[in-house]
Amino acid sequence: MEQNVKKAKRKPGSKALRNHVERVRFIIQSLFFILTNSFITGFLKGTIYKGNLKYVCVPGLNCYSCPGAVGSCPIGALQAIFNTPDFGKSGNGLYAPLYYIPFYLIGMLMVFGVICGRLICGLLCPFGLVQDLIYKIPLKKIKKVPGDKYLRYLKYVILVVFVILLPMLFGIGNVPYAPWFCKYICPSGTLIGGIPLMTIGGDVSWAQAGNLTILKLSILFVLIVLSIFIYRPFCKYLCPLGAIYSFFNKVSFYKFYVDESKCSRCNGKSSACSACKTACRMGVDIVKTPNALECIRCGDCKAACPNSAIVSGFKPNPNLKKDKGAFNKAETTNIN
Amino acid sequence: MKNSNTKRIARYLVPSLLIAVAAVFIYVGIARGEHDQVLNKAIAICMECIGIG
Repeated sequence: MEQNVKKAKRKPGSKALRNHVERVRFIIQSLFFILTNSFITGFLKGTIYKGNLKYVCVPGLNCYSCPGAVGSCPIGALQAIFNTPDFGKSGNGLYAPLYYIPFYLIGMLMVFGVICGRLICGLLCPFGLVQDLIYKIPLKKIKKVPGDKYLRYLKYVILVVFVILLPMLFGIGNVPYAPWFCKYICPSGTLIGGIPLMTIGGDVSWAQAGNLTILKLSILFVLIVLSIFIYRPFCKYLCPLGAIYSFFNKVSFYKFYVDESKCSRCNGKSSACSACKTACRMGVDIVKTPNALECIRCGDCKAACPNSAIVSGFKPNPNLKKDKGAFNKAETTNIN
Repeated sequence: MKNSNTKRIARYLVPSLLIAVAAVFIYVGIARGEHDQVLNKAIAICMECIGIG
């Protein structure tokens, strides 16, 4: 009876429904965080997991030097391959010309990306969860960041320069090979790896901290402060993993669709309706681009739509079969 | 009806092909021993990654 009352309160577009969606998302994020960081011994002894599960990467940005991590970080692993210039040259001559291409990791990222797209950012990334929690601090939020449109490209620059080119090319002369993104940018490694490990004091301690520690703690601090005012600044502007998954949003099995017959903006009933656009904290207009590169599939737009016009899933909703094509024809041709 | 079915197939064709390519990539990667490289990196504490130094 009580459940029925609760359901009745969760009408499409209502605050109750939006809160419910946010709660469900938080539960999924937390469970996945616990699952991928479940090596309890690491937290107790200040060490890391060294088992075979680390052959496989986790889909989100989860430092493999976190005491609880049971999988590998895809971005760290990519750089590890790029950091090994002799890899593939020795042993098997067949692959020698391709020695720089990390097939194993590209394949794994493709599987994650093709199935989910940036749903991974929205539901499965530990640092995304951290930013979501910080954003809950009730202070005035910045909705429009100056230069936002251009800053969004920064993550693609970071992907190319810090994850691919610098780890691949440096090592010349006295400059050692290094995981440039992890070393100079990644806040996740500092937060869920460095701070717990140094604090527990097993394999490493605060006595080993130096200039790099100061730099990385500063970056983490800035990002934490920014996350109070801006929704997911790291995901929007800096994350190379989000940059990779963004390319899969348009071709992934999991997609968003807009039902033109229900959408009051599409069918001209209310040209002023922008409930979905206003609700989206990533700045996406879902009606125009249901599978935009920036969409992290958080579902806020779905919950905010008063007409339930936005649907998502791994297969098209059968109710959309009769649509004649929504606002964005390129997207809706897939469901007709 | 035919058109509808074609589009429906196309909807799944691209991601399915990509999954197939991904499977080939993973196989090639394992054949080259890349998975060992990933494991070797992941089982040692990466001092630079966690900001020690």
